[in-house]
Amino acid sequence: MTKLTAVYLTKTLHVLAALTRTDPPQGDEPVSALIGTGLPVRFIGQLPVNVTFHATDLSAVTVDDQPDVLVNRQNYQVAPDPKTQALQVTAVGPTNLVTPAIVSASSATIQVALPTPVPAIVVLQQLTPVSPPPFIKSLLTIPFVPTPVLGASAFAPGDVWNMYVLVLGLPPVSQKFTV
Amino acid sequence: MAPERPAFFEGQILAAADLTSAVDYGRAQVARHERYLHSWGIAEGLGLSKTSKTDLTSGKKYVEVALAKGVAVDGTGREIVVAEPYTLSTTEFASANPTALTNTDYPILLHGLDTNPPAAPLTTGACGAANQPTRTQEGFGVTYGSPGAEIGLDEQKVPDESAGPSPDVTQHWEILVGHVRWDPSIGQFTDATVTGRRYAGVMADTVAARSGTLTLQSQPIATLGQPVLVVGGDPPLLRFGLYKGGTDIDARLTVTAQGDVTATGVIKGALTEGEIRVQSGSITDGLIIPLPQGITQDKVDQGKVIVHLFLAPHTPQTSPATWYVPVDCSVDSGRQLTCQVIVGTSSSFPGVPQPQPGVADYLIVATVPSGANP
Repeated sequence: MTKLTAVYLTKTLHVLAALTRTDPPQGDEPVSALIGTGLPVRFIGQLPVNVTFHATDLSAVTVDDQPDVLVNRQNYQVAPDPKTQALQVTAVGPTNLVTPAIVSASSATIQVALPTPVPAIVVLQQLTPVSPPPFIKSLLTIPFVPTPVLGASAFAPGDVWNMYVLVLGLPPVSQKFTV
Repeated sequence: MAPERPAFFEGQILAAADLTSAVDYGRAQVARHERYLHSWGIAEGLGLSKTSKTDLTSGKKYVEVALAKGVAVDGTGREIVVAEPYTLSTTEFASANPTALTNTDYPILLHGLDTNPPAAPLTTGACGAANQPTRTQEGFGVTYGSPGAEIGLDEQKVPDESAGPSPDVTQHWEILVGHVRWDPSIGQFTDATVTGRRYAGVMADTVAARSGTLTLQSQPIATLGQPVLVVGGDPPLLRFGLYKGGTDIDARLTVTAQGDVTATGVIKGALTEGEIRVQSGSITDGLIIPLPQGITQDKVDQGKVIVHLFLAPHTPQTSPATWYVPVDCSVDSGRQLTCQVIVGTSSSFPGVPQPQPGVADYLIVATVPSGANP
């Protein structure tokens, strides 16, 4: 029977990659067997990105096949089954709850409309005038209050940045900003 | 020294030594047979039985341990017979292990021991030294070893080829029959087990059956459901299976004289020349194409396995107004997939959307080439 293996961010449980196999190995499988030292990710939300998540930040789980996960993997997360506690792949929660922002002379922030703090990973990639390797920040959100991601010193007027936000339980969000 | 066989002639005056040599010759011959055609150990019985008791003073539970009757052959070829159950002595145990601890396994060791029963009273007409024994009783002794005393029993000294059994009466050959546990507060045994025992075996370069069928079974008496290996029969077969009763087995693996192999289960493990293993499925951009089960990267790197990989962009179900164009579908030397696609809609025309990571269908075949010695 075909099985689906999902590679996900350990902190936010977002599925970043997946594969199906007719004959998966029995027992635990290290994620490094599927990605090597890191997983290159080229798209988050609606925008392209060029970031590699290290194997230590990722995990893998094998479940029964769900064909849509391969095609629309960003709409899925890993979550424990409420009854058995076995990990399963489920759809992420509602959209429009995450608001990223870059304010000139201020900072980059995210605001999450959830009543409790949740883990988040934010990727900030500068596009112009230069395009250095992206920042990857792991943080805990503050309910309904902008959570600082990066200080103002990183931003100069006219710079163009892409901001990608992965909040536990919510769909990935990406947005382009001209400072 | 070569073995000496006693010889007699008419009119010879027989001394005690002449008669003893006749006995010793046969005894040594049997010992050599036991030593070189068999391996030493327990041949029958010699279990440790427990009888639950209660210490009347303290109210604590303990067990009385008895060595069951049975037979063993030691490494000198000496036969050791325990003719009646023998109750282990708490006094001798305490003497041998004065600081014995609770919850610790103490080995019980058995060895052969010759004793002379009391001589018969001198009868009328008898001559020679009075009260000389006329029999030797081949008895046994029990050693209450300290923890770990059973380690190294395989290293005991084997007699010279020509020697009979136990030539050195001061050096017993010990055989482990089990372990006991001790409660020093009441001076009694609390448990006994027969783990770690060594059983007598056979040393043979050829084992032949006279019936035309040779059977190996895992217990002295064939038991339903226990594994059995049968060689021979008509037509000749090698069969491994589970005992079904009578002479029948439920064969799980059969090899015919022509070399045809039939297995009812799954054959796993080592690769064989010409073997092919396959894995297939779909995979997203950035992942490493997995190798088939049982194939490791080391084997691929060493050239013991050749990998063939077929990739095709996976086209998902799209609506009529959506178009889907693969841009790249390839792997690097580490089999890491790059799969880029452009997904467009009528609304995106005439602009070209950004490539997105896509999905590829893969078929990976690992073959073991001839002479690869996997």
